[in-house]
Amino acid sequence: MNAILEDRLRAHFREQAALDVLEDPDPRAVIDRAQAVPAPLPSPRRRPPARGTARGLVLIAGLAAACLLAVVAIVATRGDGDKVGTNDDPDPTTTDQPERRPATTAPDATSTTVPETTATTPAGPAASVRSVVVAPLGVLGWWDGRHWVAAWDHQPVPLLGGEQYQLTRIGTSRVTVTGPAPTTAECVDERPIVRLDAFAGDVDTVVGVTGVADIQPRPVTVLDPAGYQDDAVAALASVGIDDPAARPKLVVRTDLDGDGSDEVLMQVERIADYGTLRPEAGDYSAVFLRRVVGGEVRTLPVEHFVADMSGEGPGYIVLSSVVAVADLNGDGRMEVVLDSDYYEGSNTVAYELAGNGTLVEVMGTGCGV
Amino acid sequence: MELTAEPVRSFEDFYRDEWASIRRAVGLVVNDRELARVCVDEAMTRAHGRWHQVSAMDRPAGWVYRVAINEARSRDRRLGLERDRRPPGPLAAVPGADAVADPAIAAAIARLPLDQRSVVVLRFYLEWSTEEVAEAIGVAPGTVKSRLHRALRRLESSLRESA
Repeated sequence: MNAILEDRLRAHFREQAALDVLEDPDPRAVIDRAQAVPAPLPSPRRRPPARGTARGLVLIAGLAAACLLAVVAIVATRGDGDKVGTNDDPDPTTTDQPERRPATTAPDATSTTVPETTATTPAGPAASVRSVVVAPLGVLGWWDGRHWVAAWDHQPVPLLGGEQYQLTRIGTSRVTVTGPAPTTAECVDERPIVRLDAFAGDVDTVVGVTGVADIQPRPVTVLDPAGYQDDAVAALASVGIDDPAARPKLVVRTDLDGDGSDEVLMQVERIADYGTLRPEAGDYSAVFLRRVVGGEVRTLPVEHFVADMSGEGPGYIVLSSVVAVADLNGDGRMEVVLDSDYYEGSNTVAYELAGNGTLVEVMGTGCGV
Repeated sequence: MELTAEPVRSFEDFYRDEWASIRRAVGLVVNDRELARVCVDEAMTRAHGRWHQVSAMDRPAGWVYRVAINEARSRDRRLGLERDRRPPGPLAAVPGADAVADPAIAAAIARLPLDQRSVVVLRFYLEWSTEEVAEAIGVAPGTVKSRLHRALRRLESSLRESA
């Protein structure tokens, strides 16, 4: 039967090709267009920084350098390789990350082990791995019981195949599926990926978590964006974007940290051409976190990007979308997963709510050329 | 053996040789002739921008095909046209074309998941080997074989139902 079917397929395609009359190939048009396209990004991993975050990056770099020195100094004195740091910065404008561990691995009271926004755990499967997070673009990483580990930097991933994944995306019910062993992503870079059937086809905005009993211990509710128009305008203004007509595209309410007070995620954008994501004047994309701090509501940007038409800017725009809210490591606190698209690639990035009230990137994956 | 820094084939020659078959293949896979045109143009534009690297690959057409498919998926998502919102029933093999060679088989192909449709088109339209298909879409040859096997079973089943 297969041989007959294969012959029929070949005949169909042959005849279809004859019916599908195309114009003569003209490479000149493509070459002209290529010369007008901005230079490609070096890698989807080095995501283009949002405008207005340059100072933040400098600050992060400074903090990272300081932390590194502190780590080296303390490791040198302790000799046990534990990660250490400080946790006394309550300033919500910084991205310094406080200590947090799942209840299953409660720290001792005298521990000074801390925060990592990028993982440093050794590669490979480990008995301590608690949970692994996957998305259609690839494996984001895992929680080793104490730290987030980014799959990008540490392979092989600790999966054998046959794991049960809870799948979630904003606005849909959770489902559980069994995953195959990880393989290599269909991308220019070699990255680990778990090809869940649910990821097949065109669905990109799904996150899978294995190793966590309940990935949504509290409700995640999509709200009517119309009620947040004024908040969107004000939030945009706080990052230098003036759009009095702004209307959120997506508003999600949940209690991320289980403190009884809800947080709100607000996705706002104005994109002239969703097809190419080439920027036009006035284009922007932003995701904000609103939460109560000290009795008052604060709105902080998680990701934001503005089209720069000066000719000196990057020549592209990054579209950020809220993909999922889920507990990715079983500690009872929920993380936020964002997707970002630029003209020749995509990223999926997980953020956790740090003690200072900001969302801090902990791991991600992506595909671009 | 002396290595040369020059591409073995000019971009212009590559484009003239491969463009039509890649475009038709992408059209069959994404089930949308206009989307295929835009995405293959985009992929060709990117290939031109890094032609020294792309031309050094064993099969540059495979790279262009993969970029075009990724672009199609990305555009599809951005524009909110996920496949599950499209009519699942019979579709023309190449929407936009005036005629369909074998309507029954075109409809059966249209019902396949994109990954399976992709291996069917690359294998039976472009006549690439299993290894060439695997390289083009970035999976192991065994994965291509299993996808092809599942695709053929589904096609058989669809054709039986429609008979």
